[in-house]
Amino acid sequence: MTGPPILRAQGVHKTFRSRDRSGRRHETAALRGVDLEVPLGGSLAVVGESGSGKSTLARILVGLDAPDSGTVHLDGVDFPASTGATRRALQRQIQMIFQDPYRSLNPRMSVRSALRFAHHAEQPGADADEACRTMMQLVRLPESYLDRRPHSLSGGERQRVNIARALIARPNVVVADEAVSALDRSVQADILNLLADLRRELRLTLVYITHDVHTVSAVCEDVLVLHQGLVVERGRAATVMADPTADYTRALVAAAPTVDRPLVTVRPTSPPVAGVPS
Amino acid sequence: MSTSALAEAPGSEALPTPPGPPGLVPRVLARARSRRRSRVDLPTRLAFGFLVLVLLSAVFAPLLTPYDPLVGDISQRLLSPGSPGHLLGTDEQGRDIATRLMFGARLSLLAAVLPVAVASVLALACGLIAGSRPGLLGTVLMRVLDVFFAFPAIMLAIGVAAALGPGLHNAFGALVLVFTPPLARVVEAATRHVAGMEYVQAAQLTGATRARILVRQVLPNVLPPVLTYAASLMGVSLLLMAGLSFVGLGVRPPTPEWGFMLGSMRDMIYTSPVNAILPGIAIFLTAVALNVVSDGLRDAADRS
Amino acid sequence: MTRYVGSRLLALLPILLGVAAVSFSLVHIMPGDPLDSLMDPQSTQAERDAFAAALGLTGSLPEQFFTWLGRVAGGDLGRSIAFRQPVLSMVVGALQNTLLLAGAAAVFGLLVGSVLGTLAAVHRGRALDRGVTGLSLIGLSIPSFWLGMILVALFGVTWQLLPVSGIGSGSGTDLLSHLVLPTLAVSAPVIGLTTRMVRTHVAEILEGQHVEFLRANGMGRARLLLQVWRNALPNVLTIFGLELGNLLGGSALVEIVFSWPGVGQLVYQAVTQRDIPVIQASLLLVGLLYVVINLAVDVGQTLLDPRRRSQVVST
Repeated sequence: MTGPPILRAQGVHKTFRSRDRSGRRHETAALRGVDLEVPLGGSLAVVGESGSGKSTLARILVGLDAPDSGTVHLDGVDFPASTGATRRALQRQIQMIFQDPYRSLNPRMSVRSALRFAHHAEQPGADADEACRTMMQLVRLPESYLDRRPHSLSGGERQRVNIARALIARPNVVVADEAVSALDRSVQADILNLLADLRRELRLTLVYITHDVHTVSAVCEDVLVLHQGLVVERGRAATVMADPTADYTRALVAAAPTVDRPLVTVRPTSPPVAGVPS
Repeated sequence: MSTSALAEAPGSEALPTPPGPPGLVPRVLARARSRRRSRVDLPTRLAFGFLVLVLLSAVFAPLLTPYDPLVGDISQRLLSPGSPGHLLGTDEQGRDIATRLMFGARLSLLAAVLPVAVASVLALACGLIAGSRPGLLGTVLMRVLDVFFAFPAIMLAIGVAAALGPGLHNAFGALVLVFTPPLARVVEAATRHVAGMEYVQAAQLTGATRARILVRQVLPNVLPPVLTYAASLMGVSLLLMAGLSFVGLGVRPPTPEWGFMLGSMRDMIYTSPVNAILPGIAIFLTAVALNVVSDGLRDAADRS
Repeated sequence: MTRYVGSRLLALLPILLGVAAVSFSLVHIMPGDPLDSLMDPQSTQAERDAFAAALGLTGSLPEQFFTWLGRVAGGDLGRSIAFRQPVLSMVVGALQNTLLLAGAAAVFGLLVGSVLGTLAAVHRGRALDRGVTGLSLIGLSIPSFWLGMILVALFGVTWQLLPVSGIGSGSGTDLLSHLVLPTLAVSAPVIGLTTRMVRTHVAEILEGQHVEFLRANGMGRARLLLQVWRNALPNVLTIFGLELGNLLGGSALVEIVFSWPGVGQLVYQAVTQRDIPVIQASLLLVGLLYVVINLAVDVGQTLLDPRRRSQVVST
């Protein structure tokens, strides 16, 4: 790894407690002591199945949830521990791209107002407008889309707006939580390419959360494999994906569908009986 | 008395759902849909027209009738409808019923709108706070409101209005107390729903203050279901107010108000039944119109 | 199971306390000194003190509340100012009559509403559906006390078919004949609301995939509807409970029109005489009953609905 870590999590634990209707308590350990470091300009993929705790980790990293124990440092500052205006200022330095393009944009706000809100300059002025236009160029959307509402955008377009909204706050770190998993395969590739390009152009630090092991190498240099709330393997993405050491990683890589080996193997059964429409 | 309509408070199913499948619909189609949306069905428009007529006759009542709504001619009492000069007849004090209905529409229409409007504002304040702050404050706030749920609406209104003493302001106050808890529940449920949306979390990440997020991101999405529900309460409010006046807890005589007119002519039911039930027709038709319009608004909102 | 019901009962306590607090506070939201508005201006200081003590108006506000609460728990709800007798027996007697009327109206309204709602759902979008929907709108919009007046005029005055005042001898066919008209008047909004809700529920189930499956497998219409009804039953029972609760108050104005000796009539008389202890006790007991009915409905629905039952019974 190069440079000092801009984002560092240490010993992060998180247990969810719930009560059913009869008042019984249930506990689910989502994270059981996770450490991670991302250097400035670096990129880390967090891979795991659903239930591995990766989304919980994402929410804790950006400060949406608080860990039960453990700390998250952003640029050396324990920002979730801060409060008030300090917290709000620090908060802008880490942004998130959400999973569901249909829940992550306010249906009653145009793209322009969504970006302006994030830019924090609500008064109409050259400054905010200029920033909005720059962002649209960055995410490869026509400027005319600024006056559209989410319902008239496709899933991929919405995700581009989400990226623009995350970037307009000028963050040091972007956490993308399953940012493409709700999209079609072809659109996924576009958005992933965009993320990779933006990372290079803006020297962004990226934490990319995914269940899809095949997209890891395309976007990230480093990888961390999460299983039942524990880190089971970490290292350079290319190395780990090509030659996983942990059993779990090996199973994960083997189980994933690839183009060479489609998810469902169609094997011809008995030949169709003549005269019977299939 | 349709106080039971309060039980119809929409739950989560009436909340804004995220728009459906990808917006691949061509813009032309979207425009066509919005044109259809603006076209409200015929009954709704008729009902709205009726309400406008009632409103106009209330506002211009002094120009439309030669009679005094407060003082009658005892020698002309209880003339049957259709009598010369008195289209709808006269009441037990010889006052022109048509005149009193037109003047009475002022208070009755106000009774449909004002308590619901005031309760909506209070409910928005309580519900937004409770829904966005699931901590102690929110819980306490909602539990306190729950207590007022523990009374049938009309009983609570009668009890409070009776304790405060008869009078218009007290009756309005009692109705506000009746409507605030169910409205607050709707606001709270909607706020909870919206506050869980990822766009609100994204807004938190931009470092915006809680108040700014509530006003800009949450409120616009909470308002539509709340307004729909509030609209459906206007008919209930009209009926409750008429009920309070009917038992003498609303306006004080001789102020014309539909429920009070019905109450004061209650004993005439045995002698001049048609005169006695006339004010009820005004209440009934206006309540129907209010309910048709609110249903139409809800359907229009559902379609969009 | 028992644990579930127990936890629900426990959750009831703060609400009951709140109901008591609201009823208690009625005396305190009265403008001015309650004694001035409740008592003869010529009464002596000793009389005033005695009266204040009887109403629980001595000491600090929390002190007053808990003294009052203690008395209420012991069954002493005070004495009526106008009738000079214990309020409890007056209100309990009236409450029985109200429950009779409300129960009759809830049952009648539920039956008629269920039939109409099912008819409308089966004939969805057709003339019958529109007619029924219109009818339910009328039921929801009609002031029931006005409907009561019309019934009095028609059945009592014009045709002289049925008694229109009081409860008669209070038993047998006499009671029934006195019950008919008030029940009709009170049940109008119940019919309106039940029709609407049953129509929605049945239509929803009819459009569901498992019904399509049954239909595709050639299940007859009558058996199909029976099946649909079994699914709709928990919802219908919920409606019944909610209606019964609401009618405890909703029948009040109709009671006045028909001089039915229920809580509504009692409160009406108390209002005209500013008999606050009666109003207070009525509100308290109606509130308690309302809360208990709602709890019973909620628990009953949980036990009837297999999906919700499994959540509380399984472990």
